[in-house]
Amino acid sequence: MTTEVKPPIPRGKPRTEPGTVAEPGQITQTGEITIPHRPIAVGASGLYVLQPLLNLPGPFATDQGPDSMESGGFLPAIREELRLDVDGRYPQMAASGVLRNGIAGRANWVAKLNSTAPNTFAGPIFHAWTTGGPSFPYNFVKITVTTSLIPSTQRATAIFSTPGGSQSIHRYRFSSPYFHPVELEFDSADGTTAITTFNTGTHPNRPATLPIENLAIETIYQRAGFNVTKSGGDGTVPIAGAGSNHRWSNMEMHDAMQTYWSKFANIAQWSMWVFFASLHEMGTSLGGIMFDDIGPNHRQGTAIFEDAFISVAPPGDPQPAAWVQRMRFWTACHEAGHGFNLAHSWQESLGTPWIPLADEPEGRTFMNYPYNVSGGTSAFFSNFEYRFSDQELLFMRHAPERFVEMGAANWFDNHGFQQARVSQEPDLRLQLRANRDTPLFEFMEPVVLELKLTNISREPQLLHEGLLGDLDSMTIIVKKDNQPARTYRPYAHYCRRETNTVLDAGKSFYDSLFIGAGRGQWHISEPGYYTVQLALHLPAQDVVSNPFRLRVAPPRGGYEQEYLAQDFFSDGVGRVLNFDGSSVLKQDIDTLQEVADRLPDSRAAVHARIALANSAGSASLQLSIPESHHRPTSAAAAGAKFVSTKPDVKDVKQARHLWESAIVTKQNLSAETLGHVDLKYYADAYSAWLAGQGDSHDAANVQEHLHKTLSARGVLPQVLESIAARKREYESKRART
Amino acid sequence: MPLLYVAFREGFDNDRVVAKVNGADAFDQVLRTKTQIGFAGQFELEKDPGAIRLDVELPDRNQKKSIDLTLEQSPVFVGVNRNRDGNLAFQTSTEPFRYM
Repeated sequence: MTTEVKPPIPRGKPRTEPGTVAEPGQITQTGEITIPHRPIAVGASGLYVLQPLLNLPGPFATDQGPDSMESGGFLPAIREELRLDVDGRYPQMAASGVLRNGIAGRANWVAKLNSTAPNTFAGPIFHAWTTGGPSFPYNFVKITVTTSLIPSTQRATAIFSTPGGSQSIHRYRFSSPYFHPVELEFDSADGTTAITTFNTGTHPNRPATLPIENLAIETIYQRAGFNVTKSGGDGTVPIAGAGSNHRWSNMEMHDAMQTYWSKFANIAQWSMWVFFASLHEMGTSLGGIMFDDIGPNHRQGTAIFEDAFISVAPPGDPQPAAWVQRMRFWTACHEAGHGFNLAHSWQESLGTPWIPLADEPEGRTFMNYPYNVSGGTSAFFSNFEYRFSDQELLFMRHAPERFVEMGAANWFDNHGFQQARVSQEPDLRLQLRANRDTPLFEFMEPVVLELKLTNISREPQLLHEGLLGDLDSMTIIVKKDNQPARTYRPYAHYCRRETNTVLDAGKSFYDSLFIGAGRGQWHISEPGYYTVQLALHLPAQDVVSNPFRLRVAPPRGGYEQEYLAQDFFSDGVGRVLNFDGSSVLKQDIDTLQEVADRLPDSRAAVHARIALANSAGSASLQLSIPESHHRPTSAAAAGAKFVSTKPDVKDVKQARHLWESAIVTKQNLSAETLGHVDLKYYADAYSAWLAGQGDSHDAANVQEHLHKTLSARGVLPQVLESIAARKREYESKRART
Repeated sequence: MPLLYVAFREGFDNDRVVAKVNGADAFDQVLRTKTQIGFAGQFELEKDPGAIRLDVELPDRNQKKSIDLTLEQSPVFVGVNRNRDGNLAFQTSTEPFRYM
């Protein structure tokens, strides 16, 4: 194999060169290896597409022919895809795809399948991600394939079903035996040899059943389901890039990638740079690294270090040269796996996965450390089959492209998407939603969402009462576009006595979720797009919600609003809003008062007034500790006392005014920003407070307003009935007095 | 003199980490695990052979853990992880830790 020193790629010049397609059965660029591996030889699996020239306007249009031209206006075309994974190499018995969602939205879905008849597969859709448009209505898919010896004439028909039985039929044309494309480019530093191949028969420590064959990095990823091509010419990078110490830092490698990789661009693309070098600045303890968590587009570059420990065979090894070749080849495949957003086997439930993967600390996969398993490296390779684990393959093949494609999601973001405990036939469905037409929130508006847990089985389910209010039983992820996902941490943990209640078939529990701020930070504050998703952890299974997309609008209140926002997005204000008031956090109360005064028509003011009303109108008990120069050993030793404060007439008047303006005056707006659940909660609290002040008449009026508002907003009859009953209670109380 | 090598590995997320060896300050930095290699930071020092105590503290999380070691002539490698339950855990080795 010959290489040539690569000239830097000039700026402004097209950075792509024709790729060399390594199709199955062809000889690679190196001329060394025949690659015998179409992952799916002849069968049903592969990528199917339907690409209308124009979109139908209706959501999830039915019965679309593969060659149909659909009309509906100048709407963005969305390529509908189906990835069927039921035979060939490492079949996952899964399908996934992209559907048009509503007018301009799209939905990614993934399903687990069983074979129900020849060339027919069916199973539950266990997850869907929507971008724009309505929520995804289907929970089951049946796929029938009409196979053909001529691939271009092969067809698949997918019938999507809703829980209610309505169906949507989509017909697709076979496009490729692979699920995604990917380009690789192998460059090496001066004096370094790229190890991109390995013959499995060269080292005796291997599974007895392992085929003896030449493997290339391309082979490994083709078997994982990728149409691997090569970009640019493999070449040499001057060692000067590593500085005078000749050891590469991550930044130096990133610079080299930008200069010498023919495909470098700050965009998401199915393309990766694999760099073979001598040593990282960490020294011999680092065998390789996916160094690219730098800049706006992560996971585009990986490196392998030939002078590191991976080139030191253990003493007494029968084939030390083969051991080293194997380890360097293995490391290259491992680091490239990180480029596909795969985590280490023992980390797969860490980070910020949308749905946690199970850890596989003993996994015989490219993503484990061979020397970390029981028995060490020799035990690992004695039954390693040069492949990724099933859940890793499922992720690479079927997760939404943005999770996997290099340069899209940040490293360790979305790296997992299959929850090990998600039932294939779930009994419950969890929905996240906002009680408004479009999920658009004002700047500074505290984001409150509604949770709806529905029993979608045919049997009653026994569940903990208050389950949806127990944030400790949930994992909640909030992700702003182009930023790392964050785990929501609640301000308080509650110790509850658990009592069970029955959720009948078809019935739902509801609760609200104040997601705007959590312990340590505001999760949703700056303008932009956010995605929120949660997993509810139940004893026997986890229930994962839809990912809910929302947008925070730019500020409209000019300088004053932006100035106020600096104080508003503080931990203290988040706490006061979360706990509906405070008699201690005076500075944060003042901030909320300013919001109510200066931005009176804003939605943030609705939330502020509730906290202010509670603070002004409620009695409180405070632990007062006298100032002391000595460090007290206990509150009692410091002379602490509980001090009770009660609202005076002025406070009561102010509280009443605040309550009225928060939840009565513009109740439709209040219903949108607080959500139906919280509006009712606060209206009930205000009614009870009024009744406590001896004003059952107005307490009943509050319930009447609430009934009208929620009735107009289509709230369930049983909720309206409970409001009517409460109103009658206050009227009756008033009559008695 | 034998070498004590301490590597902070998994689970650190912008945490201030303070380490003391036999009560003397040895390390004080804010660490974040580079998850693609499972490594956050390290320090090493030479000590006389004999018994030593390593204390590791995350002051902002109010966490502290200690380990007693015996240094002989060969180096001792101590890995410090913050497990998923949030607790600190040690692992010791006579060989350097390796990363990929």
